[in-house]
Amino acid sequence: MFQPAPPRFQDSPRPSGRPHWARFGWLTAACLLAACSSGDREARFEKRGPTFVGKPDSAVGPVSSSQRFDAQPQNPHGAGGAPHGGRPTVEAFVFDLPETWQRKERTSMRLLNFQIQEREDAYCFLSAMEGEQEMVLLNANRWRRQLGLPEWTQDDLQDVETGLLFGAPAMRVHWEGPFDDGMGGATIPEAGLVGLIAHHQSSLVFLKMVGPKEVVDAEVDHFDAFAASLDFPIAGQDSHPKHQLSFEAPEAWQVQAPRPGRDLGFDVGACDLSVTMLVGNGGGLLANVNRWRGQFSLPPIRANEINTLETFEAMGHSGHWLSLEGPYQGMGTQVLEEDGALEGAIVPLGDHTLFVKLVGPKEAVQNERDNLRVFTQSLHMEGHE
Amino acid sequence: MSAITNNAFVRWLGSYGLCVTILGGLFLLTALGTWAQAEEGLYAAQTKYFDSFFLTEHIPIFGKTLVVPLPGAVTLMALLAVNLFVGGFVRIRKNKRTFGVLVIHAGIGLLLLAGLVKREAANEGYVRLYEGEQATEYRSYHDWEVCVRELLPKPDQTGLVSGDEWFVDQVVFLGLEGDEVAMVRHPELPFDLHLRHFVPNARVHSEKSRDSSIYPVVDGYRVVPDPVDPEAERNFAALYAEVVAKGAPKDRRGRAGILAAMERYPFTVDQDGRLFAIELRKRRYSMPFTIEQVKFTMEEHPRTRIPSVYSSDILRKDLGAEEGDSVHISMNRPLREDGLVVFQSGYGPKDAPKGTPLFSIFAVVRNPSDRWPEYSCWVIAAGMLIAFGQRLVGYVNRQKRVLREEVTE
Repeated sequence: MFQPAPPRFQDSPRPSGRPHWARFGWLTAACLLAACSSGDREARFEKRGPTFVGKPDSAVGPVSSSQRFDAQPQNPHGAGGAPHGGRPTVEAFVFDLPETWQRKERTSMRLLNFQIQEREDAYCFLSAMEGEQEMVLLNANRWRRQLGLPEWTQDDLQDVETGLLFGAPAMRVHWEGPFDDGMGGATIPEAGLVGLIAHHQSSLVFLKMVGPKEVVDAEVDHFDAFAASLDFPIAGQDSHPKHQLSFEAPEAWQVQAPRPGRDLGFDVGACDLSVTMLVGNGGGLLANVNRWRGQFSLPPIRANEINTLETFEAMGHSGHWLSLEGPYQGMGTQVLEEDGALEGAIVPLGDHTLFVKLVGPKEAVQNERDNLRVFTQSLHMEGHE
Repeated sequence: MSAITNNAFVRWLGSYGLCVTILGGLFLLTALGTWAQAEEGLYAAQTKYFDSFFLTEHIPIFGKTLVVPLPGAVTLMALLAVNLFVGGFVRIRKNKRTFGVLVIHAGIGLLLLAGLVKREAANEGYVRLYEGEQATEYRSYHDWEVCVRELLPKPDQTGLVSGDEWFVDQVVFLGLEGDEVAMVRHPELPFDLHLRHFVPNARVHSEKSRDSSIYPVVDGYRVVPDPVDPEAERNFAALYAEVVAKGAPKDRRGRAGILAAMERYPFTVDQDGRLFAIELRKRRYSMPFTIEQVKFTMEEHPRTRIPSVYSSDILRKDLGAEEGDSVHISMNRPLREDGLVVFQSGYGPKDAPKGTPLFSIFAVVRNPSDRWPEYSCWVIAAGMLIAFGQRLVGYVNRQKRVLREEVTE
């Protein structure tokens, strides 16, 4: 690209002696000196107004070191520091961690995630989804397909080994085969899989260990001990402490046994009613409205459409009432109720947010709509009028 | 040509040989950097090879390690600029015939200048927004800041709200070791802040923890270093801070606290009746406008969870304004405004079940020289058109002359 210099200069003698690079010795020395300089520093703060990214920064008053550090995530990668990280979560399980297992970051699907014997191809995780009893077989067959095993029928479930997961009876399997997760992940030529699948109320809980056969065989006892120790929630560190709620409910409604993540639960005929009180805004009104809409395959609404929702008062505060219809698929991808419906309320209470959600067959939900409104207005928690 | 430009050293500075050597060196750095990226991570490789004056390459040979010092890309680019200036502007014959070449060199010079301006003045980060959320700042992927926020009571006295902020960039505290201290102050703050012991990736554990650490215990806790992750944005730094009286010397003790990127709450101090939160967090940069996420759209390839297309509809609003302009941002259609480029770079949470609200991730780049490479390409194209056009016209004229002479004979 350069234009050649005039020929007369090309004939000039080149300087002799040290190579040309040596002429830049001074530059090298200066840069090294600059790089090596260290020690105390003085600086001045720059000032700016309050910053605002996404949501305003939480402004919390003085807290103890224990509050600041004790619940920090074991592995920071999912703690909101990286752009792809999920929202920060608080530890919600207790368990005895086998010494050969290492805690890994949780994902949106894996509530607990472990690496085994420091091997990339051996892991165990806990996951959960909404689902009915029939989905136990579907998921068992998904695991069997991953191992290249023929699928089971309902009859095969009759003789299956059982165990306990979170205190609920669980199907326990121990299979072997060439493992391929079917999602482009690593394959294991000779793999072992030990798993528990529990169905409780309308939730499915999975605990699954996969790895090379010899590793899985050696870790079976650890797996069983871990499963036995797994509990929810953590006493004293409960991410969702139960609130003392009083209410007036129709006699036909059956109070459910305590369940994780709920303050109250009812079997309302063929429908399921949950009452949940979350600290703060529970993730935000818009996000929760759109989460519920997503469970019915409805498109999300925009922030400025929130005001179009029906207003509703409960516990002395104004909130919103939602009526949704469509194929209900809960938190999973399977449709649980083709002709489903939801009636519910989200009511911000200041420092808490109340969530009332009735889901089930459309006709049954609509029949209970008025009862649900009366029930929601009867809810009372100390400190909230 | 003056005696200075005829000087052998100046001739060497503007020579083809040096140019080719520099280009060869840049090729070598590109190869080494690309190779290292797999092992060391993108950010570390970029810093080592392309944002450095000098570096040392460790090459294993026959069971031993050979340490080879190399010039970094910054040094080579600076040399290339000097080479271009001396050879392409100073020593080149300047006449009508070389005008096109001079224009080409000007274009290359603009390209190098764009790189320099980007290195010195550009920054980048990201904004993560759920639908309905908005932002007036973006966060760096890997740079840190220590921020002091004043906490003020809400007007209705129901809690606290963040007020003004005072911050220092990481250049102030990176690499603090041993008893080195960074003393930071501001006239409006009722205290000085002494910073010590920067750890690039760390957790904070109780002193009763079995994890070993050389760092001091503060209020029953101490920093436990973790291996630095090659992917810089995965590191969670920690730092020791001490709140001291204004103008206090280095060895004056004050109220100490650990600042950790993964803490749940900031370190708070009550000084002269004012409440402040002090935290170590990712560097934040202001935008001259607000973006509000209106709608995020993602489509997957049939029967897979692999996204085929995703995009965002946003509102671009003036600061403090309620209304704004609708803008559609997709993979190759960023928003360019006021020196900022806002790209659609991703979404999350990963592997979210169907129906889960998704957030949109925007990469934001502030680069004053964003368009300069394009301009330089136009300048270079114009220069080439002139240079080769002159050659073509000259050739055609010569051919005409030859033909005329043949006809005359």
